[in-house]
Amino acid sequence: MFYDMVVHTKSSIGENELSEVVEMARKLGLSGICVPMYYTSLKDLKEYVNSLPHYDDIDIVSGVIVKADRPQDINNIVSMVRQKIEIVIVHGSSYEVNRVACENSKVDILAHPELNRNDSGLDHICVKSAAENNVAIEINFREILESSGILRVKTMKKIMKNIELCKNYKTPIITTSSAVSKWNMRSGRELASIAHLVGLPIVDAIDTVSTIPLQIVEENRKKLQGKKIGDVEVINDGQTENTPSDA
Amino acid sequence: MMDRPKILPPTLRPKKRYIAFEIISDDEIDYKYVLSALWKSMINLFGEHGAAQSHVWVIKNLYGGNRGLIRCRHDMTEEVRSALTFIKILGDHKAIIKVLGITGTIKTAKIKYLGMKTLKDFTETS
Repeated sequence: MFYDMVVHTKSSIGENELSEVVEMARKLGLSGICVPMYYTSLKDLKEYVNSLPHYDDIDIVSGVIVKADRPQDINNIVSMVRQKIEIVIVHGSSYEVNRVACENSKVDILAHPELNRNDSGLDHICVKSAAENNVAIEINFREILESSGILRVKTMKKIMKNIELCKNYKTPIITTSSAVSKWNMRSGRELASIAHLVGLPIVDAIDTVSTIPLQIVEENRKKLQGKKIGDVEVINDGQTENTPSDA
Repeated sequence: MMDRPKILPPTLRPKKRYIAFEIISDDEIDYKYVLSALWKSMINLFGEHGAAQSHVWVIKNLYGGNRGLIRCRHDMTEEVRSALTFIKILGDHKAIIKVLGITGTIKTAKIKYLGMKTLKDFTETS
Protein backbone atom coordinates (compact mmCIF):
# COMPACT_ATOMS: atom_id res chain seq x y z
CA MET A 1 0.00 0.00 0.00
CA PHE A 2 1.91 3.02 -1.22
CA TYR A 3 0.47 6.50 -1.50
CA ASP A 4 1.92 9.49 -3.33
CA MET A 5 0.31 12.53 -1.78
CA VAL A 6 1.20 15.20 -4.35
CA VAL A 7 1.12 14.47 -8.08
CA HIS A 8 0.43 17.52 -10.26
CA THR A 9 -1.90 17.13 -13.21
CA LYS A 10 -3.39 19.68 -15.57
CA SER A 11 -5.70 20.80 -12.76
CA SER A 12 -2.66 22.44 -11.13
CA ILE A 13 0.78 22.94 -12.70
CA GLY A 14 1.34 19.51 -14.26
CA GLU A 15 1.90 18.60 -17.91
CA ASN A 16 -0.16 15.41 -18.10
CA GLU A 17 -3.83 14.53 -17.91
CA LEU A 18 -5.13 12.56 -14.96
CA SER A 19 -5.58 9.41 -17.05
CA GLU A 20 -1.89 9.38 -18.07
CA VAL A 21 -0.82 9.88 -14.47
CA VAL A 22 -3.09 7.06 -13.31
CA GLU A 23 -1.64 4.75 -15.95
CA MET A 24 1.87 5.52 -14.76
CA ALA A 25 0.83 5.01 -11.13
CA ARG A 26 -0.46 1.57 -12.12
CA LYS A 27 2.89 0.68 -13.69
CA LEU A 28 4.72 1.89 -10.59
CA GLY A 29 2.52 -0.10 -8.24
CA LEU A 30 1.06 2.83 -6.31
CA SER A 31 -2.28 2.18 -4.64
CA GLY A 32 -3.36 5.80 -4.33
CA ILE A 33 -2.45 9.28 -5.49
CA CYS A 34 -3.55 12.74 -4.48
CA VAL A 35 -3.98 15.13 -7.42
CA PRO A 36 -4.32 18.55 -5.79
CA MET A 37 -5.37 21.87 -7.29
CA TYR A 38 -4.25 25.34 -6.31
CA TYR A 39 -6.97 27.22 -4.47
CA THR A 40 -8.62 29.95 -6.54
CA SER A 41 -12.27 30.08 -5.52
CA LEU A 42 -14.88 27.87 -3.86
CA LYS A 43 -16.71 27.45 -7.17
CA ASP A 44 -13.61 26.06 -8.89
CA LEU A 45 -13.06 23.78 -5.92
CA LYS A 46 -16.56 22.34 -6.24
CA GLU A 47 -16.10 21.74 -9.97
CA TYR A 48 -12.77 20.06 -9.36
CA VAL A 49 -14.15 17.70 -6.68
CA ASN A 50 -17.06 16.72 -8.95
CA SER A 51 -14.78 16.16 -11.94
CA LEU A 52 -12.58 13.57 -10.21
CA PRO A 53 -13.24 10.10 -11.66
CA HIS A 54 -13.35 6.87 -9.70
CA TYR A 55 -11.01 3.97 -10.44
CA ASP A 56 -11.24 0.51 -8.94
CA ASP A 57 -7.53 -0.16 -8.53
CA ILE A 58 -6.20 3.33 -7.78
CA ASP A 59 -7.52 5.54 -5.03
CA ILE A 60 -7.82 9.14 -6.25
CA VAL A 61 -7.67 11.56 -3.33
CA SER A 62 -8.90 15.13 -3.70
CA GLY A 63 -6.70 17.85 -2.32
CA VAL A 64 -6.14 21.57 -2.37
CA ILE A 65 -2.90 23.54 -2.13
CA VAL A 66 -3.37 26.83 -0.30
CA LYS A 67 -0.89 29.44 -1.41
CA ALA A 68 -0.97 32.91 0.12
CA ASP A 69 1.57 35.49 1.15
CA ARG A 70 -0.18 36.73 4.26
CA PRO A 71 -0.53 34.30 7.20
CA GLN A 72 -4.10 35.40 8.06
CA ASP A 73 -5.22 34.50 4.51
CA ILE A 74 -3.99 30.95 5.10
CA ASN A 75 -6.21 30.57 8.15
CA ASN A 76 -9.25 32.05 6.37
CA ILE A 77 -8.93 29.89 3.26
CA VAL A 78 -8.19 26.71 5.22
CA SER A 79 -11.30 27.07 7.39
CA MET A 80 -13.37 27.72 4.24
CA VAL A 81 -12.18 24.63 2.33
CA ARG A 82 -11.83 22.18 5.22
CA GLN A 83 -15.39 20.81 5.03
CA LYS A 84 -15.27 20.35 1.27
CA ILE A 85 -12.08 18.46 0.52
CA GLU A 86 -10.06 15.50 1.77
CA ILE A 87 -6.54 16.87 1.97
CA VAL A 88 -5.48 20.44 2.75
CA ILE A 89 -1.89 21.27 1.83
CA VAL A 90 -0.24 24.59 2.63
CA HIS A 91 2.35 25.92 0.20
CA GLY A 92 5.16 26.78 2.62
CA SER A 93 8.15 29.01 2.11
CA SER A 94 8.09 32.11 4.34
CA TYR A 95 8.61 31.49 8.04
CA GLU A 96 5.34 33.16 9.06
CA VAL A 97 3.30 30.98 6.69
CA ASN A 98 5.12 27.85 7.88
CA ARG A 99 4.41 28.70 11.49
CA VAL A 100 0.73 29.49 10.94
CA ALA A 101 0.32 26.22 9.03
CA CYS A 102 1.97 24.25 11.83
CA GLU A 103 -0.30 25.83 14.43
CA ASN A 104 -3.52 25.11 12.52
CA SER A 105 -4.98 21.67 13.21
CA LYS A 106 -7.14 21.91 10.08
CA VAL A 107 -4.04 21.67 7.89
CA ASP A 108 -2.92 18.17 6.89
CA ILE A 109 0.40 18.74 5.13
CA LEU A 110 2.91 21.57 5.12
CA ALA A 111 4.64 21.33 1.75
CA HIS A 112 8.30 22.23 1.19
CA PRO A 113 8.93 24.60 4.15
CA GLU A 114 12.48 25.15 2.85
CA LEU A 115 11.58 26.33 -0.66
CA ASN A 116 13.59 29.35 -1.94
CA ARG A 117 15.17 29.93 1.46
CA ASN A 118 18.66 30.05 2.81
CA ASP A 119 17.65 28.36 6.05
CA SER A 120 15.44 25.35 6.70
CA GLY A 121 12.27 27.40 7.34
CA LEU A 122 11.29 25.53 10.50
CA ASP A 123 12.37 25.83 14.11
CA HIS A 124 11.64 23.84 17.25
CA ILE A 125 8.48 25.90 17.98
CA CYS A 126 6.94 25.11 14.58
CA VAL A 127 7.83 21.44 14.69
CA LYS A 128 6.51 21.01 18.23
CA SER A 129 3.15 22.58 17.38
CA ALA A 130 3.02 20.57 14.15
CA ALA A 131 3.32 17.42 16.24
CA GLU A 132 0.53 18.61 18.55
CA ASN A 133 -1.77 19.56 15.67
CA ASN A 134 -0.95 16.51 13.55
CA VAL A 135 0.42 18.51 10.62
CA ALA A 136 2.73 16.40 8.47
CA ILE A 137 5.93 17.93 7.08
CA GLU A 138 6.64 17.10 3.46
CA ILE A 139 9.84 15.80 1.90
CA ASN A 140 9.63 17.07 -1.66
CA PHE A 141 11.41 14.70 -4.08
CA ARG A 142 11.11 17.01 -7.10
CA GLU A 143 13.16 19.66 -5.35
CA ILE A 144 16.06 17.22 -4.96
CA LEU A 145 15.63 15.64 -8.39
CA GLU A 146 15.52 18.82 -10.43
CA SER A 147 18.42 20.56 -8.72
CA SER A 148 22.02 19.57 -9.28
CA GLY A 149 25.45 20.26 -7.88
CA ILE A 150 25.68 22.75 -5.04
CA LEU A 151 21.93 23.49 -5.19
CA ARG A 152 21.09 19.82 -4.57
CA VAL A 153 23.54 19.78 -1.68
CA LYS A 154 21.88 22.82 -0.12
CA THR A 155 18.36 21.45 -0.59
CA MET A 156 19.27 18.13 0.97
CA LYS A 157 20.99 19.87 3.85
CA LYS A 158 17.87 21.89 4.63
CA ILE A 159 15.60 18.84 4.43
CA MET A 160 17.97 16.87 6.67
CA LYS A 161 17.81 19.60 9.28
CA ASN A 162 13.99 19.58 9.24
CA ILE A 163 13.92 15.81 9.58
CA GLU A 164 16.26 15.86 12.53
CA LEU A 165 13.88 18.28 14.29
CA CYS A 166 10.84 16.20 13.33
CA LYS A 167 12.46 13.07 14.74
CA ASN A 168 12.98 14.84 18.07
CA TYR A 169 9.35 15.89 18.44
CA LYS A 170 7.83 12.85 16.67
CA THR A 171 6.20 15.02 14.00
CA PRO A 172 4.68 13.03 11.12
CA ILE A 173 6.66 13.18 7.88
CA ILE A 174 5.38 12.49 4.37
CA THR A 175 7.43 11.84 1.25
CA THR A 176 5.91 12.96 -2.03
CA SER A 177 7.17 12.91 -5.58
CA SER A 178 5.41 16.23 -6.27
CA ALA A 179 5.76 15.36 -9.93
CA VAL A 180 4.89 17.90 -12.63
CA SER A 181 5.36 15.32 -15.37
CA LYS A 182 4.53 11.62 -15.28
CA TRP A 183 8.22 10.88 -15.80
CA ASN A 184 9.00 12.46 -12.43
CA MET A 185 6.87 9.96 -10.57
CA ARG A 186 8.54 7.18 -8.62
CA SER A 187 7.28 4.03 -6.96
CA GLY A 188 6.56 4.06 -3.23
CA ARG A 189 9.57 2.08 -2.13
CA GLU A 190 11.88 4.33 -4.16
CA LEU A 191 10.45 7.43 -2.46
CA ALA A 192 11.06 5.71 0.87
CA SER A 193 14.71 5.22 -0.07
CA ILE A 194 14.96 8.99 -0.57
CA ALA A 195 13.54 9.53 2.92
CA HIS A 196 16.15 7.06 4.19
CA LEU A 197 18.84 8.97 2.30
CA VAL A 198 18.00 12.21 4.10
CA GLY A 199 18.17 10.70 7.54
CA LEU A 200 15.17 8.57 8.52
CA PRO A 201 15.56 4.94 9.62
CA ILE A 202 14.27 2.59 6.94
CA VAL A 203 11.13 1.51 8.84
CA ASP A 204 10.04 5.11 9.44
CA ALA A 205 10.95 5.97 5.84
CA ILE A 206 8.53 3.34 4.53
CA ASP A 207 5.86 4.68 6.90
CA THR A 208 6.14 8.13 5.29
CA VAL A 209 4.71 6.75 2.03
CA SER A 210 2.31 4.15 3.40
CA THR A 211 0.86 4.30 6.91
CA ILE A 212 0.94 8.05 7.59
CA PRO A 213 -0.74 9.20 4.34
CA LEU A 214 -3.29 6.38 4.58
CA GLN A 215 -4.12 7.37 8.13
CA ILE A 216 -4.64 11.02 7.14
CA VAL A 217 -6.88 10.09 4.21
CA GLU A 218 -8.99 7.64 6.20
CA GLU A 219 -9.43 10.03 9.10
CA ASN A 220 -10.46 12.92 6.86
CA ARG A 221 -12.91 10.74 4.93
CA LYS A 222 -14.55 9.73 8.19
CA LYS A 223 -14.79 13.38 9.20
CA LEU A 224 -16.32 14.38 5.86
CA GLN A 225 -18.94 11.64 6.15
CA GLY A 226 -19.79 12.79 9.67
CA LYS A 227 -18.52 9.61 11.29
CA LYS A 228 -15.90 11.46 13.25
CA ILE A 229 -16.25 14.80 15.02
CA GLY A 230 -13.04 16.21 16.40
CA ASP A 231 -11.31 13.28 18.04
CA VAL A 232 -14.53 11.43 18.81
CA GLU A 233 -15.68 8.65 16.53
CA VAL A 234 -19.42 8.11 16.00
CA ILE A 235 -20.13 4.40 16.25
CA ASN A 236 -23.91 4.60 16.49
CA ASP A 237 -25.87 7.78 15.79
CA GLY A 238 -29.02 6.58 17.64
CA GLN A 239 -31.27 6.54 14.57
CA THR A 240 -30.13 3.26 13.08
CA GLU A 241 -30.90 0.16 15.10
CA ASN A 242 -28.08 -1.11 17.25
CA THR A 243 -27.10 -4.39 15.68
CA PRO A 244 -24.84 -6.69 17.68
CA SER A 245 -21.42 -6.57 16.10
CA ASP A 246 -18.85 -9.33 16.01
CA ALA A 247 -18.96 -10.01 19.73
CA MET B 1 51.28 -20.90 -14.09
CA MET B 2 48.22 -18.87 -14.84
CA ASP B 3 48.75 -15.14 -14.80
CA ARG B 4 45.90 -14.44 -12.46
CA PRO B 5 45.17 -14.94 -8.77
CA LYS B 6 43.30 -17.99 -7.60
CA ILE B 7 39.60 -17.70 -6.86
CA LEU B 8 39.02 -16.79 -3.25
CA PRO B 9 37.51 -19.35 -0.86
CA PRO B 10 33.80 -18.68 -0.23
CA THR B 11 34.34 -17.27 3.26
CA LEU B 12 36.67 -14.56 1.96
CA ARG B 13 34.55 -13.50 -0.98
CA PRO B 14 32.64 -10.22 -0.60
CA LYS B 15 28.94 -10.69 0.09
CA LYS B 16 26.68 -9.66 -2.74
CA ARG B 17 23.06 -8.82 -3.41
CA TYR B 18 21.28 -8.73 -6.75
CA ILE B 19 18.81 -5.94 -7.47
CA ALA B 20 16.24 -6.86 -10.12
CA PHE B 21 15.00 -3.82 -11.98
CA GLU B 22 12.61 -2.86 -14.73
CA ILE B 23 12.87 0.20 -16.97
CA ILE B 24 9.63 2.02 -17.69
CA SER B 25 10.13 3.82 -20.99
CA ASP B 26 8.61 4.23 -24.45
CA ASP B 27 11.36 2.26 -26.16
CA GLU B 28 13.86 -0.50 -25.43
CA ILE B 29 17.03 0.89 -23.83
CA ASP B 30 20.53 -0.28 -24.72
CA TYR B 31 22.71 -1.90 -22.03
CA LYS B 32 25.51 0.69 -22.24
CA TYR B 33 23.17 3.56 -21.39
CA VAL B 34 21.95 1.80 -18.26
CA LEU B 35 25.48 1.13 -17.04
CA SER B 36 26.74 4.66 -17.67
CA ALA B 37 23.66 6.26 -16.12
CA LEU B 38 24.04 4.08 -13.02
CA TRP B 39 27.70 5.00 -12.59
CA LYS B 40 27.03 8.67 -13.17
CA SER B 41 24.21 8.71 -10.66
CA MET B 42 26.24 6.82 -8.04
CA ILE B 43 29.23 9.15 -8.42
CA ASN B 44 26.98 12.23 -8.33
CA LEU B 45 25.20 11.15 -5.19
CA PHE B 46 27.87 9.41 -3.12
CA GLY B 47 31.11 10.64 -4.63
CA GLU B 48 33.97 8.56 -5.97
CA HIS B 49 34.63 7.01 -2.58
CA GLY B 50 31.05 5.85 -2.05
CA ALA B 51 30.72 4.58 -5.61
CA ALA B 52 33.93 2.56 -5.28
CA GLN B 53 32.72 0.96 -2.05
CA SER B 54 29.43 -0.18 -3.54
CA HIS B 55 30.95 -2.71 -6.07
CA VAL B 56 28.06 -1.93 -8.35
CA TRP B 57 27.67 -3.53 -11.79
CA VAL B 58 24.93 -4.34 -14.29
CA ILE B 59 25.09 -7.98 -15.39
CA LYS B 60 25.29 -7.93 -19.17
CA ASN B 61 24.09 -11.32 -20.36
CA LEU B 62 20.96 -11.16 -18.22
CA TYR B 63 19.89 -7.74 -19.48
CA GLY B 64 17.11 -7.73 -22.03
CA GLY B 65 13.61 -6.51 -22.63
CA ASN B 66 14.16 -3.56 -20.27
CA ARG B 67 14.74 -5.89 -17.34
CA GLY B 68 17.97 -6.82 -15.68
CA LEU B 69 20.07 -7.41 -12.59
CA ILE B 70 22.45 -5.13 -10.74
CA ARG B 71 25.08 -6.68 -8.52
CA CYS B 72 26.20 -4.69 -5.45
CA ARG B 73 27.67 -5.11 -2.00
CA HIS B 74 25.23 -6.63 0.48
CA ASP B 75 25.02 -3.59 2.78
CA MET B 76 24.78 -0.95 0.05
CA THR B 77 21.46 -1.95 -1.54
CA GLU B 78 19.59 1.04 -0.17
CA GLU B 79 22.21 3.43 -1.55
CA VAL B 80 22.04 1.85 -5.00
CA ARG B 81 18.27 2.02 -4.90
CA SER B 82 18.31 5.74 -4.15
CA ALA B 83 20.90 6.30 -6.89
CA LEU B 84 18.55 4.54 -9.34
CA THR B 85 15.77 6.89 -8.25
CA PHE B 86 17.70 9.90 -9.52
CA ILE B 87 17.98 8.59 -13.09
CA LYS B 88 15.75 10.63 -15.41
CA ILE B 89 17.06 9.97 -18.90
CA LEU B 90 18.56 6.82 -20.46
CA GLY B 91 20.07 7.40 -23.91
CA ASP B 92 17.61 9.72 -25.63
CA HIS B 93 14.53 8.52 -23.82
CA LYS B 94 12.85 9.62 -20.66
CA ALA B 95 12.82 6.67 -18.29
CA ILE B 96 12.02 5.51 -14.79
CA ILE B 97 13.88 2.63 -13.17
CA LYS B 98 11.65 0.58 -10.91
CA VAL B 99 13.18 -1.91 -8.51
CA LEU B 100 11.37 -5.24 -8.60
CA GLY B 101 13.15 -6.83 -5.68
CA ILE B 102 16.43 -7.80 -4.07
CA THR B 103 17.78 -11.34 -3.91
CA GLY B 104 20.86 -13.10 -2.62
CA THR B 105 21.51 -15.28 -5.67
CA ILE B 106 21.16 -14.94 -9.41
CA LYS B 107 19.10 -18.12 -9.53
CA THR B 108 16.31 -16.78 -7.30
CA ALA B 109 16.33 -13.48 -9.18
CA LYS B 110 15.87 -15.34 -12.45
CA ILE B 111 12.97 -17.36 -11.11
CA LYS B 112 11.23 -14.57 -9.23
CA TYR B 113 11.77 -11.51 -11.40
CA LEU B 114 13.10 -12.41 -14.83
CA GLY B 115 10.38 -14.92 -15.60
CA MET B 116 12.52 -18.06 -15.96
CA LYS B 117 10.43 -20.93 -14.72
CA THR B 118 11.33 -24.03 -16.71
CA LEU B 119 14.62 -25.86 -17.20
CA LYS B 120 14.61 -24.78 -20.85
CA ASP B 121 14.73 -21.10 -19.89
CA PHE B 122 17.87 -21.68 -17.87
CA THR B 123 19.75 -23.75 -20.42
CA GLU B 124 19.10 -21.25 -23.20
CA THR B 125 20.60 -18.26 -21.40
CA SER B 126 23.50 -19.73 -19.49
